[in-house]
Order: sequence, then structure tokens, then C-alpha cells
Amino acid sequence: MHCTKCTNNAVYINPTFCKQHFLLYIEKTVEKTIKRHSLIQKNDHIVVAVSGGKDSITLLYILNKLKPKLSFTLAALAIDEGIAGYRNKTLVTVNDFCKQHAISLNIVSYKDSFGKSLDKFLATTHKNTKPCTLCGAFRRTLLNKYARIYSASKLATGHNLDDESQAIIMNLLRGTPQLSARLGPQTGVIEDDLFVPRIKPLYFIPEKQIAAYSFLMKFNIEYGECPYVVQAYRGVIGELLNKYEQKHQDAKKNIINLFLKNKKKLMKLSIKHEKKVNYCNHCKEPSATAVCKTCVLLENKQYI
Amino acid sequence: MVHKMKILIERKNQIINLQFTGTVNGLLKKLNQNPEAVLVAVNNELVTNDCKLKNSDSVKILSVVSGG
Ligand SMILES: [Zn+2]
Ligand SMILES: [Zn+2]
Repeated sequence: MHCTKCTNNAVYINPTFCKQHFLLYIEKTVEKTIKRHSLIQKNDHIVVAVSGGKDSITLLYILNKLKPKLSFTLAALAIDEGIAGYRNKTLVTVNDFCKQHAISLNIVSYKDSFGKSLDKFLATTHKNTKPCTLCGAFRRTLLNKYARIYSASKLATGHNLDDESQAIIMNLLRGTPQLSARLGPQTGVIEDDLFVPRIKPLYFIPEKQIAAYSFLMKFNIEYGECPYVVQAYRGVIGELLNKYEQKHQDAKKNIINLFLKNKKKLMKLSIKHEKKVNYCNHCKEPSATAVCKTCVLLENKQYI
Repeated sequence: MVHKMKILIERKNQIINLQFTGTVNGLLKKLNQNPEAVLVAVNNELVTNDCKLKNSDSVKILSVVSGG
């Protein structure tokens, strides 16, 4: 099959492009998403949350490339949970990548922030806590706090079309569609000094296209899997959507487009949705509840 | 000696040697792989699913699902 823009062989079908035109297409899509959804303004300082996987590395690379054109500045932020045999490897990837592209990188660890690595938490005080529950809360807290400390006007994450369509369907099937009010290409737009708005420039790009982009770019990515990963439900939904996508092209895209059309209604439905941000009584970080999830998990013992 | 195609399934870290004639699409069907969830590289070049395979090819089936 040939590229739809030139006579070269295609490396991807739908969109059907050769290597050069495919790479260009992905970069253009990110740029369009940023412009259409006003994700980045002139003089913004964007902190990119990087894990070393294909999504965050692709995001970092493309934003770094768009930086002069859209006149913003950029830095990377990685969280070191302390997962032996996994995170140490991905942090090497992140470190090498940032060095190669002259991007400033800060690494924040659970150990320095909460006194213990994730491995240690799970082996001692939190034997009965699900790893992803701890990580979800800790990561969120640290990303927001350190994005703010490093003067970010926005925090960018590598969420893609698959992640987002899966989350929408999961919320729907669990009977909590109002939780989807927190999704979308930008979130946390509520004005608050302590809360850094989040943007997802890869929002409209399917996972497969990101994998193809990072393969073609020969990014040196550590393809390992987190040893604690329990993606049972998300995995099932992901598989289901991919099966459906095989027969009905653009299924995933249709899900997020329907969601975006109805997001305002969902926000009204959302009970927890408040215009004002509250603060955790304990750590003073932004929180929907009186004591934030991180402090509850730490049993108010450790300050951050 | 019959030449067999060397296939690496990245996600399972599994190498299969197989005699096969047909397209990438046919191979994915035979191996029960969803084309939406994988990329296929032949001799380290990304190819589309209509690509015809030879038994001398070295095929990699790469998972596109992120590991978190
Ligand atoms: Zn082309
Ligand atoms: Zn707190």
C-alpha cells in the first residue's frame, strides 16, 4: 500500500502514510489539539510528567519540538515511587532522553516526600493496601505540588485516546458517569494558586499511533511492566474496545467525541463538583475532602 | 531444509518458528492477535497489514498497550 500523500510505501494504515508523512501527521495532530482546546498559551511554563514509557516520551519530544513555534518553556518531572527492578530502569531512560534533548529534569521520590519507598510501604505499614490506591493518591499529590514548586503554569500528561475512552466506558459501566467530569483534554481549570491545571496534548491520538511514532523515532524505551500492575478491569475494557474498533472504525474516537459534547451536563451531574478548591486540613494541599487522600493513606502521621 | 519464519511475540517474550505464506493480516489471525493492539515489524521495518511475508523474514509483533 502507498502513502496517500506521496509514492512511498505506507508504514501505517488509517491514516495511510509513509514514515515521513506519518510522523508529520502525529505532530500536526498534537499541535491542532493544543490550539483548538487552548491547552497552551504564549509564555506558559509547561512541566511534563514523564514515566519513561512511550506516551510520556513521545509527549515530551513533540512538546520540545513545538516549544519555539508556540513560544512556551518546558521542563520534565518524574516521580520515583521506589519500585525495585522497574522504576530505576525507566528513570535511566528518562534521564538519558532529557540529557540528549537538553530538557531540564527533576525527580521527586516517595522516600524523600513520605519517608519510604513504595516497596517499603507495601512490605511494612501498608500490606493490605492496593498498590495502585497508594500510587494514585501519592502521584497526584506530588505531581501537583512539584509542578507548582517548579513554577509550572500547566502540567502535561501523556494520556491518549485509548486511556480516555476506557475511563469513560469504565465510569459508565460502574454506574458513576459523573466521575467522567474530571476527564477531558484539560482539567482543573478552576482558578486557584495551589492547583496546577492539567493538559493532555495526546488526547486524540490512539495508543497504536503513539507506539508507531515511538518505534519510527527509535526512542530507546524500557518496555517493562510495573510489577504491581493490576489492570484487570481496564485491560478487559481495552480489549473489548479494540475488538469493536476492528469492525467499527473510529469507535474510540466516537466515544470521546460524544463525551466532549456532553461534558458540561456531566459536570452538573457531578455531586462533588465545586467551583472552589478546598484545602487539606493536614498538608494544606488542594483537596476535595477535609483531609486529602494522601494524608488519609498516611494516617496523618507523615507530613509532606 | 525448509526455511521457517522467525516470529517474536514481544508481550509474551516468545519466539515461534513457523512456515507461513500470506500477509501480515493472515499471520495475526493465525496467531490470534488483534491488529488494533499490535504493530508488526518485518526485518525491523514497520509494515502495514497487507504486507506479504516470506519465510526468510524476521517478524516482530509489538504490543501497543502501555505497561503503566
Ligand atoms: Zn508520504
Ligand atoms: Zn493532605
